Amino acid sequence: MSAASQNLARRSVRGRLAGHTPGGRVAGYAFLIALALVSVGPLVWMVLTSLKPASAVFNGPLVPQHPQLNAYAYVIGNLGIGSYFLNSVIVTSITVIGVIVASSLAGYAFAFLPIPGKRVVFGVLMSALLIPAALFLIPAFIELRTLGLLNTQLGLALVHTGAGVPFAIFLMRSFFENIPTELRDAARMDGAREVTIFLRVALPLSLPGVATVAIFQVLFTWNDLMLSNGLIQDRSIQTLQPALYTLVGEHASNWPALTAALTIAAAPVIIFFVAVQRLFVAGLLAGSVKG
Amino acid sequence: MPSTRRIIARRPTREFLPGILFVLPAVILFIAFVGYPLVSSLYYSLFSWAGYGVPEFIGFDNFVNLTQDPNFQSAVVVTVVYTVATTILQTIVPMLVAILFMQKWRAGALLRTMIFIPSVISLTITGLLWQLVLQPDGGLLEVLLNRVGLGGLSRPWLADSTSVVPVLIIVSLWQSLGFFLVIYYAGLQGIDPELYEAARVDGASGFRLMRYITIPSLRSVTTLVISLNLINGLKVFDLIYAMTAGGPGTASQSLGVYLYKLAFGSENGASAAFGYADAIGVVMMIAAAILFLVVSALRRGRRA
Amino acid sequence: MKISSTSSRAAGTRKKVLRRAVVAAIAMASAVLLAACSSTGGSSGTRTISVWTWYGNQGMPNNTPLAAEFEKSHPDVKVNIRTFGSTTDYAPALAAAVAAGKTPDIFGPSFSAISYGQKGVALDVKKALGSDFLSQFFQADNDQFSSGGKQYGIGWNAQSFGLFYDPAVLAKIGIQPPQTWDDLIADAPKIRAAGYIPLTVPSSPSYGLADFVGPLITQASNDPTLLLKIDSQEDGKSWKDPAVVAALDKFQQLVKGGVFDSGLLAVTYSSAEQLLTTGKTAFLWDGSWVPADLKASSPNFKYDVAPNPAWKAGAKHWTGDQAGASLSVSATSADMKDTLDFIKFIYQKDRYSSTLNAAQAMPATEAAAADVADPHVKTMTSWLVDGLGAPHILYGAGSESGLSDVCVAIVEGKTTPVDAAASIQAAVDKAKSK
Repeated sequence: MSAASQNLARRSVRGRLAGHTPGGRVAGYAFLIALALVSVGPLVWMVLTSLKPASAVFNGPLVPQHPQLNAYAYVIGNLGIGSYFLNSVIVTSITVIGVIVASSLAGYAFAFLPIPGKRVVFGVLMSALLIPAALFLIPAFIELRTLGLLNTQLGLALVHTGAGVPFAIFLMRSFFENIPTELRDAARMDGAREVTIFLRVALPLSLPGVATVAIFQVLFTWNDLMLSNGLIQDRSIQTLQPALYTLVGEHASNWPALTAALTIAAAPVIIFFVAVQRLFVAGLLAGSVKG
Repeated sequence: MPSTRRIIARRPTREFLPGILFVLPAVILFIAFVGYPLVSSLYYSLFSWAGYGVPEFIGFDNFVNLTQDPNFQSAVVVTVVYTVATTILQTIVPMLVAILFMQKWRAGALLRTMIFIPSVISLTITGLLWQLVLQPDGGLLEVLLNRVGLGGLSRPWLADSTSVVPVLIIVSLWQSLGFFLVIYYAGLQGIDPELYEAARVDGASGFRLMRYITIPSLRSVTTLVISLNLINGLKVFDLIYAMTAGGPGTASQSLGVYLYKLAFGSENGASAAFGYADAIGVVMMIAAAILFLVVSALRRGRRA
Repeated sequence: MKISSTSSRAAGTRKKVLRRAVVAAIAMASAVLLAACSSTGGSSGTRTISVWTWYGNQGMPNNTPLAAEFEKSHPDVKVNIRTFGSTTDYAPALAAAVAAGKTPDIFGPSFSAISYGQKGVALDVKKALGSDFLSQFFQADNDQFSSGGKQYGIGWNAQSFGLFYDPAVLAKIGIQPPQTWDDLIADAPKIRAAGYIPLTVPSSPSYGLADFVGPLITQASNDPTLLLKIDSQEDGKSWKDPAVVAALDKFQQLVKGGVFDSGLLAVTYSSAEQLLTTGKTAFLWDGSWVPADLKASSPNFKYDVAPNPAWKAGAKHWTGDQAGASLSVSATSADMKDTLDFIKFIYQKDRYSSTLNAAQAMPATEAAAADVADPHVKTMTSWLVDGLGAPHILYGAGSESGLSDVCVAIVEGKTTPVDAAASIQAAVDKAKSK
């Protein structure tokens, strides 16, 4: 869609809801700003609390007068955070790559190619979205032990990949479905093989979709507590969330340490998202949500 | 499409080959690490099994017992209330906010990003954070209410059986508003502007445009949002467990929380009951599948 | 035409981007796979024993010197300590490991020691370690893990419960720690008038209330075996017992007497401690892990601890005992000898005392009780030595949740003591039929 027609759409939706009268503008700004403040307020408070000395948490002003990083020094010093961070990066990377490869291939097939029992296969894959994670941990553990992958980052990443593939296929399929059929047909006329069409035509046009899938998967994998806590046993290869959760449990009544741990756990995904949000919105725009 | 069909008829196996090869990696990953383990687990819903020791086959006894289990019944009520409320709120509120965002706002992108941020944080962290925010002594909400002279409104929100579930629903909205907002926002940009122009020519404006153009055009986005909300609602666990562990008593114990406690015996005086937890999982999956089918049938029906 | 030329240029760029992306992805994947494989290399030649608990504040942190000390005297053994944050992350990880037959060599059995033992997961330590070794523990801590002449766990920390308070706050209000529950009810209006919550009890999760009410049953009957019999439904005892009704009635009197905060049911273990350290509550009823917690969170806070109030003047100050933190040994340990050696090693008298003293945690052995350094822990341990311990951990199917749930209902004014007792029994009957 061109910039001009987007603008047109924007103006068209405007209507008379809130924007035409100056009073409506003010009310609209007040509402949106309030909403934004409520959204980030608790997180800002979390960071502010982590910068206070323990004695001032309940009595002092909301904004610390003398912000200090003691809680962070304590949490990081206690934890050896660097290796956990790296482990999370490794597990998340393998998972994201695996999910992108498997789901883009399968999404393409579900969008365009004839497959026996297509709807059934798709339905079975989608049913995985309904699984309560708690039921899944014990059998996944037994499975990895059987395969000799228990207590390895590869094993954990493979479980994450298997669990992430259905939703990713769902997204990728709708991205591919938005590709004009003429493009595929033209390539076919030229005698291109399916793999070539996929790699040269469909995938390049669906890069926003790949970005969307990657972003979702980074969030899912990075934020996971139960699977990595259950499937990885050696602390040397453990990921960040379970390690931080140990601190959360140990320091539940030490709010600066607790909020510092929460901040360290939340900060990477927030920074990651803010950095890539353009891709994300572009990705959603490009396809998935048009259905 | 007719051409594809003709080809299938002529060379079925060869025509299927690329499709099969393309889905193979995903299917293998899925079967190996999700499908097979899950099926082998759900099989234990027919057993009395603590998660260790020798499972004892008991047929459908776990399911029969569910029908007489007051904790299961209260968990169903909590889950249904939570799912219905979050689905309605988290479908309508983000849609309206997204429509509002379609106007030109200075710093609109910044505001959207701020609203989105909570949804990238894990539900466990969200739950722990809000437990602190809502704490009656020193929590952010109490401090703020005191500052603005509304200290009298301050309540032990999570201590009251009547307020605990509504509070959880609002925290869920806080967490997911930005996520669904972005999905709707993207969907709105995809609406063909000519539709509006045509309607305007017919004299429609304001709420009528929204009612007759915007909302119908968002139908497929809305279906996606509703489906995601239904699934997340039925499965809800992390947020509730981190904030209340299902309490006070069982007032906020959802099916996911009850299942978790049974599966791992973490708070069950006696031993874990993995088989029984599995039975709850089976019921949840069937319920979710039925809902899923109903939603997609409604969608198809509307389209036709 | 302009459009098509733009799009073909764009396609060209995209192709380049894609090619680069693919190359980068492959490079990244192989690097990552190498890292993943190399990081899992097992240590050959040495034997490994694993120890899983959530006792980070109670003498078994991840970096406990116990592991290094043991490795020094056993150079071919590696001790893997894995300490979780709480049962929230611990329980699923342990359940998965146990289900797959990869039980850690030593682990905290939570409530399930006997069940683990009967199903062949936990070792009979009576046979493996001998009665002499076990005789150093408090009797209640041995009893709680015993069934049919076998024992499936040993205590790591014993427990007792008391009233923690800030002496300065009490002086300001002008009261003394109550001797009986009725004293506390009588003082409540005065405490409230001074702006304090009279009594804080951790009640979220709700089993905190079961810990509080359980010992009241012993107080009402003066029989420390009664609750054990009710819990296991032996000797014809049931939850409808008059002592249960009396205990629930006392709890209801406390509720109606305005002893608790209106937010009682949301008070978590950590917020309960905060209410004390921030001067919001006069008394915190809580367990002997509090000194260790306060040392970590509020090292400068000055406080004292008084015995659990008694049923009536002159009666015994029964308080909940039994070990909350305990250790079981895997019955299928691949390296039983080193595992048992490690157990004996960490319980060697001086080592055990100094480990727990460093954490300000309560020991589970009578011998170490004499060495307790922290004055508050020492006071609380002395109650156990004086025989004031009463059971409070419930093992029977449906007991724990049944009692917790009626306590919540009493706080909410939804039930009477008689009905509540009957409904616990009904919950237990139902749970047994599962």
